[in-house]
Amino acid sequence: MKMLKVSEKGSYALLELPYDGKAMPGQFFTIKTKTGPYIPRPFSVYDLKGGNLKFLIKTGGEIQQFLDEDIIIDGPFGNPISKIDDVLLLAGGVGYAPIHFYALVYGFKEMIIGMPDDELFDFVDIPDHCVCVVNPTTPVDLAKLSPLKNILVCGPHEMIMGLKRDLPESTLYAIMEEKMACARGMCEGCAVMTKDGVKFVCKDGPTFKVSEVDLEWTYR
Amino acid sequence: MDLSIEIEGIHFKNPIVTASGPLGFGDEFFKYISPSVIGGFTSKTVTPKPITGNMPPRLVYIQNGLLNSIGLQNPGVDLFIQKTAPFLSEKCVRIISVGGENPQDFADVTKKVEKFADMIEVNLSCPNVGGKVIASDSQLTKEILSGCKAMTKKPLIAKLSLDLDTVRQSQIAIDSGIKIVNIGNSIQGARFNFKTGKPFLKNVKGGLSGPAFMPIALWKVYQVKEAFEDLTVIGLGGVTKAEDVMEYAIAGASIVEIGTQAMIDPKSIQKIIEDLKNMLEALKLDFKEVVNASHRGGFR
Repeated sequence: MKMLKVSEKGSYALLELPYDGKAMPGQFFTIKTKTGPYIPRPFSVYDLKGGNLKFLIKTGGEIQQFLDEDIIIDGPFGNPISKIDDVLLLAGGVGYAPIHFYALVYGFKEMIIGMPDDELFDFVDIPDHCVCVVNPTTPVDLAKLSPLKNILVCGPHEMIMGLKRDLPESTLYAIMEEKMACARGMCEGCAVMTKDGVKFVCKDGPTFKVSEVDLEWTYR
Repeated sequence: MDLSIEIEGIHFKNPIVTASGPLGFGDEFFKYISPSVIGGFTSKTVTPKPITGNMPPRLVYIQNGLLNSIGLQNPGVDLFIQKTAPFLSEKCVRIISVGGENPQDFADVTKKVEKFADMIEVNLSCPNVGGKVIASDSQLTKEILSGCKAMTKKPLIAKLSLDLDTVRQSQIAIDSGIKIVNIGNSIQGARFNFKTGKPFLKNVKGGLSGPAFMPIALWKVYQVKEAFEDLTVIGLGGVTKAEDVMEYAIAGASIVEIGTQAMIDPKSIQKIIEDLKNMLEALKLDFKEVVNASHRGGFR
């Protein structure tokens, strides 16, 4: 049965749907209803267990007006992430969703979560032994203090660019999020420039090795 | 009832053809639907040299539509004829879209792709490259169409711009010996971010697709068909269901293309075709009897 839980001030929602299929960390689904939105919206998996699939949604977008209707999901799309040894997980805002799912499935060594406000901090499940920071301290500031060299990140563009700039010795993997229309590698909307040319978040990602991505082209 | 239609000697088993662009070259699309289901498939536009496409963001979601700024990303004609064109399915009509910057570009690409195509669509109207669309230059349009015509005996389709006078563009196409026009490409539009004061798209403008602009496209189809009864018109824009296909046919379209809907839900195309057949059975009409009905005073 569908469940919709909304945060204290209404800025975030957790959408829980029955789902008897599989999904792996890194994968995402699209969400729509019979009445809209016209372009189904992609959301990373926040949690999947016991036949319940959860998505973390920042409210305020067009999707919000449809969340009370019967939800139609399509997916999973995207390539699963393999387990990364001795990984530092880094999340910013609702980019926490795929990081949370990764942590549930594979575990982690260290996790730093950047929250734009207390509302999100109070709303989501946060495993023990995590560090949470609220603006203006950023996860990038704390990541510099970690001895771990493998980093998996999902968050704002500035965060990924900051990591690449400030931690050149680390091996960075980013779960990238771009607007997409088809989620199947057809529309070529979610373009990322890599050393092998243009790739697409939905078909070739969503996880990319940051050293192989031209962030200037992709984000500027 | 019969859904088939014949255009310039080419048989379409039904009038549903995919639009150029949203489905690329079909490799992903045909994982969801068999080419034997649709009337035809139009390839993404192929240009003389590879094009990387525009920098992101390339999409803006809007209510009942989509603004895209892909920028004709394609591998270039040489790679296309080597790796893609030979494998285009012949279970539906193969339409290859050609593009470029000048008449020589278009002629060269047409010459290279024509043996792999049943029809060739000349893209005069991409909203996402350069400062203005080719179709805005009448002389250039004539030269491109004449140049392509000299390169092939396959039927040519002139893909027009909805941003310009489609009747005038159709006249230019007719004067260049073209018998089929596609009305048309996505319409130019823009959205701005009220938080940053900047446009959402780096190129400011993009191409609007989706139901939001269907009434505009329907009107243009009607208008062109009214002006040129013998011209074959392909209609597209915002089709999501069989009723929309019927509207385009009634307005004057012999072929109805589907782009964005095929991209967001490939399997829905099969349902649209089945629903169309059911609608025609209820009306006891063949599809070709619906085409241009509005100019004949409706169904008889």
